Amino acid sequence: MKLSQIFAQFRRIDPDPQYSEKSKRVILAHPRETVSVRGAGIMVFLRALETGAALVLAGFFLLLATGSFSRNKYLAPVRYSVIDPTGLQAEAQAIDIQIRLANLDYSEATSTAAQSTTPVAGTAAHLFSLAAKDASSTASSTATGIAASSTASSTSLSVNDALQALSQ
Amino acid sequence: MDRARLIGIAGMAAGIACAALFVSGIPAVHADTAGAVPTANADTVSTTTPAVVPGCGISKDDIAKIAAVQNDPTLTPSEEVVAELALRKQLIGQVVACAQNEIASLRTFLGSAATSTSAETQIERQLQGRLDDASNFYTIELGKLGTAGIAGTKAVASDVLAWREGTYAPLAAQVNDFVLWSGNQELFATAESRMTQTQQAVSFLESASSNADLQNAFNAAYASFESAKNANAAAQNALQQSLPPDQTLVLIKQSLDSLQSTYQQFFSVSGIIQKLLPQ
Amino acid sequence: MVDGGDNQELDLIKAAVGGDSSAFGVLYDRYQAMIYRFVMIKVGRREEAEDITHQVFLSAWQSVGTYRHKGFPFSSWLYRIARNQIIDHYRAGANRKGEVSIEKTDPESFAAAVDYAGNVAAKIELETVRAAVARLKPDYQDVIILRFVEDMSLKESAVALGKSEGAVKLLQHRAVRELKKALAGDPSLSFDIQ
Repeated sequence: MKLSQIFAQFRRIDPDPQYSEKSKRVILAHPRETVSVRGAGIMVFLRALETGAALVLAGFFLLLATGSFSRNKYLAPVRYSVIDPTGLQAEAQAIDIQIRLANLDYSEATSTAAQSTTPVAGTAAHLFSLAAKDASSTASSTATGIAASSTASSTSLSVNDALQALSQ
Repeated sequence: MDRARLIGIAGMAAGIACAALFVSGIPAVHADTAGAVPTANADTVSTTTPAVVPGCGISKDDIAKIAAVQNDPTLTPSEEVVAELALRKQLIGQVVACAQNEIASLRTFLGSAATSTSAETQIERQLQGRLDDASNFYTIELGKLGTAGIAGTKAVASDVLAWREGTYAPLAAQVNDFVLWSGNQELFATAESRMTQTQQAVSFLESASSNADLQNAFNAAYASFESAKNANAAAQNALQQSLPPDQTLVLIKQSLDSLQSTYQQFFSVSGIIQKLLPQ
Repeated sequence: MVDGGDNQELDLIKAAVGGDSSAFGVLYDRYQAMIYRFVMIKVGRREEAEDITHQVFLSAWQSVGTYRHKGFPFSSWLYRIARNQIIDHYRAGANRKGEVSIEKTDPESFAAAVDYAGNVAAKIELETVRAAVARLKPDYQDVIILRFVEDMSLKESAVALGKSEGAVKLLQHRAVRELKKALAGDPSLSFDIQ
């Protein structure tokens, strides 16, 4: 085979469409860097440096890392959101909530528990109620709490229990 | 930009930048090189309040009425049969109506899942289709009551119960799994951004001075995240193939546990970086 | 490749520089496959290629505000970012796992990415060439990919690589020579490039 033909085959490499879709979505959802510069003079100075803003950042950071900068309220160090505890905390909390949801025993949905006449719907409501209450940092609800909002009495049978009784 | 070149002239830029700073009194560039990470909070967890489902209203007392009819001395045997049959059909009708409401709630719950990729939409459509089938099953079973005797109504009740346990319960569990899994995707997207920025920050820091603790923490975060993504992908596969829901749930939990570990490492990285920066 | 002087592209770039995410999205759609190919030929694994490509466009989106159009294709800028990302990737990979060997490629990943209806022998041929390219020095790899896979002109390649046209011409000559040496043992291959 000719090498040019092989390279022509290479041209057929394409990324997975699902990956592309997701990657694009994530990227475009990402806020842009903001570069704020006061004074046209500073801008001209930066542009005059062939390597531009990234170079200044490199210089900044080297000095910061070696502790050569003195503290100055105007000298906001290069901020990395990777060290932003609030953001990290919020993201970690969201994961904790999902873990709690995942650990709900939704086998209750098919149990003969009498606490909800519609255990599947009750579990669904429970899942969301749990998430909603966690969002407001209050105690999580229980299935009985949800069932309390329904009109069924505590002696109501679940669907399965009723069918069990009617099959005999 | 050539990295060696960047580092090589960084010193020069540092001196010039210093002078520029003290002259201007402000940082020449204020940039979060990593970009802001979209903050995830509990509100991003896909939630919706399903329609409040009224109780089926069948109590033990209602079931006891069957026995009461059977033992009513004022009824003739044929009156007893007619009354019992009517009662049973009415109760089964009520129960099936209740079960249909469950499906409606489950549909709403399923619809609350945030689907963005074609694969996710396909899974959702698949599950919606199976909920349609479930609804049709109830309709068909209810139709059998028309000509059924007492034994026939018992058979319908028994068949529906068996079907609920064998078919509907796993379907409901799969819907739960899917909604849970789809809610996780936002977290993964956020973590992906967080990982990219962390990697950039660590690379940047490493180019200035090597730090073993930072490297180790980052490596641990990376490894955890890879595990999380693998489990997440496996869970998607399980959903697509309608594998047993308990298996899917195990994978979802694994992915979340690994994601949690990833964030523990992010916290470590954050702590180390903070120590590297002057107070 | 889209001509950098294309008015529509200029408008898109301007809009993206101004923060228009949908404009950047169009640019993403235009160039993502090209960058992915570039990366995939070098790293040989789909997962790594996806990660790196994602990071290229994320970096591009984050820094597009500083992009200045100088009459060359937008893709040139993206290639420069891609080259740096690959360097970072291998550097981080070397730190993480010790020596990163580019021999650790999954032929199935690459062959699957190419997605052609070839027989097994043809697949092996493709992977042999890809691996040989990936074993070249990075500068040689770049020029081979840009000139022979993407069919870029000497001028476009020079901008993408941050070198003069003369330097690219020399690099190409040396790259092809090295590639010939690497593939000399394969009798089924005929060299029709230079």
